Amino acid sequence: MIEIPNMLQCCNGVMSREKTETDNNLAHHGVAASSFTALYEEHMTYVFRYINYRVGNRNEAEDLTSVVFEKALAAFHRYDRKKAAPQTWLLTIARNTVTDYFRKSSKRSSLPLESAVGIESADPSPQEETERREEYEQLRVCLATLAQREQEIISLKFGAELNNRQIASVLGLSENNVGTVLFRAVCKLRNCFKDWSNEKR
Amino acid sequence: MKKGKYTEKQFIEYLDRLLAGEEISLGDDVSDEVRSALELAKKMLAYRDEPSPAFRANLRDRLLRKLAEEEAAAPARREERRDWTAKLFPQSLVWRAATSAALVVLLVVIGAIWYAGRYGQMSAPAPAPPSPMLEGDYPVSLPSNIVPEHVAFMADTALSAKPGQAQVYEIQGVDITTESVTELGKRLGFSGEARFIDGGAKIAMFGGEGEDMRELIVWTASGAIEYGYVEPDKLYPPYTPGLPSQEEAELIAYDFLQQADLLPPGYEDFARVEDEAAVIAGGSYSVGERYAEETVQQAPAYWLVSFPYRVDDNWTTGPGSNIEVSIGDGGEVARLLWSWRQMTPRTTENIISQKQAYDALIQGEGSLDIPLNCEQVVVEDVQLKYWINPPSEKQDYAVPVYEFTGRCLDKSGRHIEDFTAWTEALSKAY
Repeated sequence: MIEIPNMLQCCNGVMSREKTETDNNLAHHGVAASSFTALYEEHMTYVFRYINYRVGNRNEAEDLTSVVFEKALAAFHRYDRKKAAPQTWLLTIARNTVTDYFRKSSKRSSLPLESAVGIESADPSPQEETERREEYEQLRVCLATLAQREQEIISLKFGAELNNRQIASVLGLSENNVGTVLFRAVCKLRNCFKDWSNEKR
Repeated sequence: MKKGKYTEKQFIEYLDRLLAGEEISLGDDVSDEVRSALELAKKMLAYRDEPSPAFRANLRDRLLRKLAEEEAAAPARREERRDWTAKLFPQSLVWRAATSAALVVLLVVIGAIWYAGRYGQMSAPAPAPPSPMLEGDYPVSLPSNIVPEHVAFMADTALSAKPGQAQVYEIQGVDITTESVTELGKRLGFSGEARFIDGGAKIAMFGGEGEDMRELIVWTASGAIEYGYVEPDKLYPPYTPGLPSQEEAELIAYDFLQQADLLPPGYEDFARVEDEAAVIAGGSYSVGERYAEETVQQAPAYWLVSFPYRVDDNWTTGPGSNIEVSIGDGGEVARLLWSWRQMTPRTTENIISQKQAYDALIQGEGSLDIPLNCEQVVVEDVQLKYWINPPSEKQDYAVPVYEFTGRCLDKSGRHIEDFTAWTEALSKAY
């Protein structure tokens, strides 16, 4: 439970209690709002990146990020920082949300062309821009060929920027196992990307 | 250190630095394999999407509006209740006191009449006081459930349909201080003072230099201990290690725990735990047949001696259920993972049957993480165990869970990998 200072003092009458309770509500709201805003500002980007790696579609990643934070808001009063670090808590919600999304939509990581629209580059030439988009698209193709657990670990590492110990904690794996799977997954991505580059030439 | 493990470690170190925003320059000792993997990692980072500022701002505003609406609704509901009670009860303090007193007398009289009618003619003793806690007050932090669609389940073992009872244990809090860790460090050959690291999550000591540098880490939330060499070469030497026999390794590990005063109560006599201590080959890959083409079977780099971790006569499970000592080259203790927690029985609670637990697992209520190409889950064993959280987490109660073990098969019936799954065991119906 988030610790919110109890400002409700002793009440000697209905009027004074009402006044104090109103103050308390305001204070409660202020503390909860600022705590939640801080949580949002600090972790939103990581949650979005994690989801974007998983679903491979910017629009859907934004929708699911909204769902995650709405769920987090609804459960915020029950959240106990002592039991889980904020990022672990949010990413657990995000993982479940993505899993639900895949189950409901019977989809796996998708690769729509429009996902590349958001790529930014410092004044690239049209040719460079095209190459960047192709590379980006191919990375997504390669990512989608990985096993679910590998995608999960890649997303938690590159998207959420968790260290291996944190990933192990989120996934219930050993830290060693995370390191092994991560390295192999990146090697698979590298090989997939290399094959594509060679074919392109 | 084995080449594969060293390569992995080197890659992770550089990757973490990349993620931290560092400009890295690779040393001469970095293999082409790691270089090319890091090149790919850089591409992954370069093409990483960011949420748009508009989306970020809109979502924040929407969430804050929602929060404000919910907060505004709460006092309005309280106000409605107060209006209703204000009409029922007078506002003057004298009248309020008189009304309250009358109400108390009335309740006492009604209670006395009810009690006489209910128990007055009965000779049976009064019912036992209710359980001090309700179900749900013993949370279990099982890992998330990740099951691909269309997975078929099969039980290749008999499942009892008989519910039962099991003890819930209270885990005693730990008071980990720099002084207590310094004392432990002295027993393990460290000198100097322990200090907080990682924002206070751990207390650590370091000793030695270079490849002989050792660390002692104690988690403040749980009291769990990690001890070992900072450089992994002691566990994965770049040469064939001279390992003692497995029996000798077991004794070395036991003596180490005894000298460090880390033997749990009841483990003082080696003969009592000898049969249950397990020695396995450490340092060789065992990642399932999915990676069979990449798996290289090699001689063990160390012996991993695992001591039984039980609560009374029941086994524990979960990421914090380790008492493991790794014995390396020349019989040296290269690593210790110790996460034992002191517990006392709290209450006896009803538990569901193995069959009910299996049904819950099938319904997706448990914790099962299997590969995407797993088509059939074959449950081969189910046991009641006590769940222990990771060392980083404080835990108030040890609660029974059902642990399922078995095999995962692909669509052609080929064994992909073994699995372990859990479901909560406490009955929801008491």
